[in-house]
Amino acid sequence: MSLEKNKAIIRKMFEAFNKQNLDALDELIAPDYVDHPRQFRDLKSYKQHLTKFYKSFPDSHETIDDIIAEGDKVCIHLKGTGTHKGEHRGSAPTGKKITWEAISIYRIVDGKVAELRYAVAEYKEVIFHVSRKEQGLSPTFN
Amino acid sequence: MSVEKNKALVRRLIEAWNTRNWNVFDEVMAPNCIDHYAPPDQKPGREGYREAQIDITNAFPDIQFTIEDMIAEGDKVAVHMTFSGTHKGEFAGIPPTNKRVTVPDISIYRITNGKIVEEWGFSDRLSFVLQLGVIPPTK
Repeated sequence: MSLEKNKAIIRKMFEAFNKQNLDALDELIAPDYVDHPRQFRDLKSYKQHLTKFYKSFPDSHETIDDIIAEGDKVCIHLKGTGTHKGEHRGSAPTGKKITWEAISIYRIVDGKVAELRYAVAEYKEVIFHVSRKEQGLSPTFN
Repeated sequence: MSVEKNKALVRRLIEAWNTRNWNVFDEVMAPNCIDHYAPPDQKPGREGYREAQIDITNAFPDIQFTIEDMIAEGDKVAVHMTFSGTHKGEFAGIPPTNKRVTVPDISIYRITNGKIVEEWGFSDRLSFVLQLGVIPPTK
């Protein structure tokens, strides 16, 4: 499998996320997909998570800023936005536009996304503007 | 510059953090390199980057960075690493907690002419502050 093909699979997966087309994911993600950071062990659990996420952020949209592939791995730097319309991780809907960024590392096996090996994500408004201000943290914390 | 050479360059930088060899920054980073996610009070370029690294080492004197994964293509190198250290000095306005933290990070470096010219770095800051105990965990 070439690097370009692996990158194309990841790009298609994000197109499906943006269209909220969960059926399209069957072609792109392995049924036994493992998401290490969020501890999903199959595609079915991941789709359940996405269904909830789309209820929380119905207009969510993610763009890939950077994509780096080597061997069977693909790393992406993404930016996302969405309006917080439904409960998310225990937070009541705020109606606010939220932005997030993440760097994620995927592994592709036999033309399907087999693993999210690691991801570091930030919901900017949540971490910076709510928690940090309320906790009196320095705004320059890095 | 080959992908393997670029990876070796990033490994040298991370080894320099672990060995407190601050002069290595001059060899591996361009003077005007851009740290895209630097806090607003960080000085620009290599000097600011070096000072920030010295600051975190003063706050966490036993800090060590472990490379978990590296992905390189073209002029970019992505690194998944974990840093562990004990919070012994003030850091970002947080007084020392004496807590030991283990924090994941993924950073992307861009390399031109054998020097790092740009970095996009994300540490899991939420996990960091939860481990320091400065934000109570939510359900």
